[in-house]
Amino acid sequence: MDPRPDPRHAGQVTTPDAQPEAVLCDQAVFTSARSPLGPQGYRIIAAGEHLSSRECSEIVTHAPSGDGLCDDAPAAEGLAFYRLSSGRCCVLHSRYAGKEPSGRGGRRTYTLAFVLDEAGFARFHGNPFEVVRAARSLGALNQEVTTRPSLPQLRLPCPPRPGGAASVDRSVAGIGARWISHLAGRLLDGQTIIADTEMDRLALAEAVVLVIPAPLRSSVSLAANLRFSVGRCGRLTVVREDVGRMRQLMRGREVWVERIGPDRGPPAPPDHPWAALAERFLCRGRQGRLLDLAAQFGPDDVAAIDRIVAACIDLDNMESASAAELVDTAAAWLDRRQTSPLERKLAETLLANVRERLESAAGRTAEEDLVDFWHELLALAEPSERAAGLAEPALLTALRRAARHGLPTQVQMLTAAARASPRAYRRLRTEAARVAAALVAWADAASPEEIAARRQLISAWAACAEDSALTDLLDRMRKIGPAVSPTGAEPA
Amino acid sequence: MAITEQYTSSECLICERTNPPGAMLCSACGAPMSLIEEAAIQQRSPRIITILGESNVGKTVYLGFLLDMLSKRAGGFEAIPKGAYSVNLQQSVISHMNARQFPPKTPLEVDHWKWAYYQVRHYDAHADEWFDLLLPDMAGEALAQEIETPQTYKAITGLLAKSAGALVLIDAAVAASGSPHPDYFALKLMSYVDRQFATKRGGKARNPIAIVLCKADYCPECFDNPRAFAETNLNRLWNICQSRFANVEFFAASTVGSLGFAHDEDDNVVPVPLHAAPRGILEPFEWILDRIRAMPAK
Amino acid sequence: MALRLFQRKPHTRGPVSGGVRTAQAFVPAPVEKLASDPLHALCQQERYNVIIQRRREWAEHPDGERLCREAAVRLESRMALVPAGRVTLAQTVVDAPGAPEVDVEVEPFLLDIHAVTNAQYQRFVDAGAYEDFDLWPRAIWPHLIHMRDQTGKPGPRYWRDGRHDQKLAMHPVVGISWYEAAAYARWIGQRLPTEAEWQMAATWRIKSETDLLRRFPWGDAMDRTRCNIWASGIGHTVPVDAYPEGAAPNGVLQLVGNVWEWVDGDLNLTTTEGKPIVAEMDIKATRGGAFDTYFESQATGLFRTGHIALARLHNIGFRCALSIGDAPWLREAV
Repeated sequence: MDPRPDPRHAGQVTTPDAQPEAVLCDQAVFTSARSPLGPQGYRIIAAGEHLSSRECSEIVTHAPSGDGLCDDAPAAEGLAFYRLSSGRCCVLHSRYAGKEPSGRGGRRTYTLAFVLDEAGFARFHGNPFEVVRAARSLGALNQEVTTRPSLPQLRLPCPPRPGGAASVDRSVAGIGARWISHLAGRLLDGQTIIADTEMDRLALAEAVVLVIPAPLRSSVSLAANLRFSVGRCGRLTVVREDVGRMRQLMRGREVWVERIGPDRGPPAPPDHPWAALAERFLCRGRQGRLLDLAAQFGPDDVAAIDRIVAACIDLDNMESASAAELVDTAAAWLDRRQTSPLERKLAETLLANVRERLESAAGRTAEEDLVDFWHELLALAEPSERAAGLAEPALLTALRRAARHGLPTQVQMLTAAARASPRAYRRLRTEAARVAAALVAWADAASPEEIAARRQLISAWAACAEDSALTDLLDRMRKIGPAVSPTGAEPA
Repeated sequence: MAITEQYTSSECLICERTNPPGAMLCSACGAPMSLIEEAAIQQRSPRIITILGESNVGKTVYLGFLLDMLSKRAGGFEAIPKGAYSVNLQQSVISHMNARQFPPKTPLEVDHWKWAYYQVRHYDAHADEWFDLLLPDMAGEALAQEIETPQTYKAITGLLAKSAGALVLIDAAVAASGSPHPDYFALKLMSYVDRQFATKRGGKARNPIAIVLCKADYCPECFDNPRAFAETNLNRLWNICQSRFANVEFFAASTVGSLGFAHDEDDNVVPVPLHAAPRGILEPFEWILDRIRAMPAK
Repeated sequence: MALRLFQRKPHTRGPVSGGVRTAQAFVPAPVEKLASDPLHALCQQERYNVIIQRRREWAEHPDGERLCREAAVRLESRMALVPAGRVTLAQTVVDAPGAPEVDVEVEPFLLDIHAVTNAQYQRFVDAGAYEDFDLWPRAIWPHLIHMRDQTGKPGPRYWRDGRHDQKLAMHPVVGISWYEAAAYARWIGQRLPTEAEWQMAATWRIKSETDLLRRFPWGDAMDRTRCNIWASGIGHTVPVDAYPEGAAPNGVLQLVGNVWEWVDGDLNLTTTEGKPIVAEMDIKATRGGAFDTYFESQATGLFRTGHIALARLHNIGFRCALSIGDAPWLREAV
C-alpha cells in the first residue's frame, strides 16, 4: 500500500477508435475483522497495490465504523464520496455484515472503497451512485474479502447513458421538488448542508447530485445514510440524526443544518437560477429533460450557466408561445453571442424550434393577420443572414398562402420584402420568380385596362426587386398600355 | 499563550488551531472545545495523560474503572469531574460491567470519543496540590492507523505532543499465549511515542510512561513480577524502553475476575465478564502522577 | 468534612502473598511435628469427622472414646446447622425480572462457620496430600504437577517452600483450585457445599408462610462494615473470624466478602438468548464475593458466578459442609 499511485494508471480502458467502455479502479475494504495474526478492529483489511498509504489513511478517516449506518435494517446501505488529497475520487459503499466479531455488541459495518481518477469518474457522469451500480452489476458488493490482503483493480463498466432517474422520481414523490431544488441551490451557492430526513436518504442524495450540472458534481463531497460524524461531513450530508445535536457539534462552522421533509413545509424557492430551473422541470414532471441537461454540461459550460438557464426556459416556453413571442425569442437569441458549447447547442435547438414553429404559425395564422405576420417576419429576417434563414420557411409558407388572395397580394408582399429585407427577398427569389412568371402569364391574357390597373403595383415591385423578368414584363406592359415610367409614375 | 488568551481566541487545547467563537469541536482535530473553556476557568492547562493501546486491549474499561475509583476516593485520591461529559465514560463502563457486559467499542470517529477532565489531588501528600488531568479514551484502531500513517488523526498527534505522561496498555493474555503481535505493536507504538516525546538534545524521552500489562487475570504470574514478565514475553518492548525512555515502569492490571464466553447468532465469540475484580488499576496512575508532579507543566 | 474511606497504602515492591503486597518479609509458618499415633495425629490435623467415621478403629485405643467425643464437640463448635429451605437459582447471566430461574429444595445440612484457613490447610500439605492420588480424580493427576507454590513445592500458589506466611495463618487459604478445595474437604471427611446449599446458608430462605429471603446473611441491605469487599477499603483478606456483625443467623461468618468460595457444582448460566456460557474448561461455581469485588450487586447471597476449575487465584477460598446423614454425632435435639 505504500507506493504512490502508479503514474501509468490511466483510469480508462478503451477499445480502439471508440469511447471507453470500462474504467479501471482501485479497491479497498475497510471493516472489523479478527485475524489470527493479531490485529483487531476496524482497519483496511485488503487494498489494491496502487493505493498509497496516504490514500488508505484518508479512507479510514472517512469510512464508518461499527453501527455506522442510519438505518437499522439488515439490508441498509450507505454511500460517501470524497476527493482524496492525491486528486483521485473515492466512492465508499457501506453495509452491515453481521455482528461485530469482537463480541462487544453492535453491527459490523463493511465498507468497500472504489478509487478512480477524475477522468474515470467523469465517465460515470460525476455520479458516485453510478459507480456503485457498476460495481453491483459485477457482483462486487456481495462478496466479502476475508483473507486476501491484496485486491486487483476492478474494471467497472461505464453506463451508456446517465442513470438515477428512479432516485429522482422517488425523491420527488417522497420529499417534493422544492426540497430537492432547494438543496441543490444551496450547494450551487457554495454552501455545506446537513439534512436530516426520514425519507429515502440515498435516493435524495442521488437526486440532488443529478440535478447539479455534471462538471460540478465532483466538488460535492457527500455522505448519505451514514451515522453522523463531524469528520465525515461532506458538502452534502443526508442522515437521520438529532438535528439539535448536529447543530451543536457544527457550531462555529458555516453549515446549514435542517430537518427536511414534506411535513416541514416547503422551503423558500431557490435563488440560484439553475436550481430554480430544476424546480420548474421537476414540478412539471420533466425529470428526464432536466437530468439530460445536467448531464450534458461540460467544463466550459459552467461559466455560462445563467444563459443556459435562460435558453432552457425559452425552450420550455416555446410550446405555448404566440407567433409574436416566437419572433421576439428568435430575435433575442439571434442577437446573443454564445460562449459555451452547451449554450450554443441550446441556442441552435431553440432557433431550430423557432424556425419550425414560425413556419407552422405561418400556416395557421388567420388570413386577416397574414400580412401583419409577414411584416414581423421581415423585421426578424433583416438583421442577418442567419435571421433570414430562420424566417425563410415561414416566409415561403406565408407567401404561398397569400396566393389565395391573388397575385396582387403576393406582389405587395414581395415588394415589402424587397424594400424591408433584401436578405429575406434574396431567399424568396425562386418564389418571386414563380410569381413573376404568373404575372407574365396573366399579362398575356389581361386586357390593357387590367394591365394599366396593375402597372403601378408591378412597377413598385420592379423598382426595388432588381429583377430582369419584372423589367421585361414592365416593358411589355408599357407597350400594351399607356406609358409608365420605370418608377411606376404615369407619364405626363 | 496564557490560558485566558487561548480561551478568548478559541484555540484548541490539543492542536492549537484557532476556531470560530462558539465552536463545539475543533475543526482541525475534532477535540471538544469545552476542554479549553474548562482550562480557562481553572486558570491552568491540564496535564494530559494519554491512554494508549491497541484495539480490544481494554483501554475503555481500564479508564472507566480508574475514574470511578478516583471518584470514590480510592487510594487516597480525591477527584472531581469537570463538566458532565467527563462522567459519561465511567458511567458507561460501570453500568455495562455491572450488567456483565463489556461496553461497546470506542468508535473510530474522533467526535465520538469520550474525554474525561478531572481535578485530582492526593490526600496525604501535597493535600493542597490539585492537578487538572485530561484523560481521553481513544479508539485503538485510530491509534494503529496514526502509527501507520502519522497525522491521520491530528487529535492523537496533538495529544501526545502535549502529554505529560502516558499509560500504555498491553494485552498480557495474548502475549502470554505466545503470540508476538502485542510485542510488535508495542514496539511500533513506542517508536511513535519516542518521536512525539523526543527531546531537543536527542536523549532519552523523560515523560513518564507506565506500561500496564492488562488482562493479567489470565496470567497471574504477571502480578508477581511485571518486569520479568515483560522482559520474557515482550522483549522488543522491553529493549526499546531500556534504550529510549528514561522514565518507564511496568505494572500488571486486570478488571475482570472471571471471564466466560458465549456465541452470538453469527457464531462470534462474545466475552462475558462474569464479575468484576479490578486489580492494579490505581498503581500505574499513582506512579505516573508522582512523576508528573515533579515535572513542570507544559 | 469529607468521609475518608481509604488510607494511602505504601507503594511497595515486596512479595505478593495472598493478594497482599507487603513490605514485610515472608515468615514461614513453623513446622508442626505430627504425633506418631494415628488417632492423635488425626486430632492434630483437626480431621474430626474422619475420627468419627473410623471410630471402630479406635475401639481398642486407650483414648479412643474420649477423643471421639472431643471430635464431636469440636465439630459441633466449628459447624452450624443450616435449616431446610428453598432457593431460586437464576439461569441467565443478566438476572432481570422475568428471566428464567430454577427452584431447588435444600435439605438441612452442616456448614463450617469459618472458611478454611492457611493454618488448617497447612496440615493437608504437610500430610503429603498432593501425592495421595486417592484424594484426586484421575483426570486431574497430570495437573497436580502445576499445583505448586512460588518455590515449586506442592501447595497453594502464594506459599513458599510448602509453608504459608505466619502472619496470614488465620486468613482464608487462597491460591487453590477447585480440585484442591475438594481434595481437602475429602481429606477431612467432609465435602464442599452445593451451590444451592451455599445460597440457602447466605439467604436463609426457610420454609414458612411468608417465604422471605435475605440478600445478605445479615439482612437485605449492603453494609460495608459487615463484610470485606472493595468498598470496605481493606484491599486484602482478613482473618476468617473478622466481621462478626456480618454473620448469618446461625453464626456462619463471611459468607459475603473476603474471598469467593468454591462450591460443588458447575456454573450453568446462559445468555438472555439462551446461549450457554462456557470457558476453556469447566466453570465451577463460586459464591459470596471477595475483598476486591467492586460491585455490591456481585457480593450478595444470590449472585451466581464462577471460575475455571483450575484457577488458583488470590481471592478464592472455600469452606466445607457435611450432610446430616454423615454426622451421626449430631445430637437428636438438632
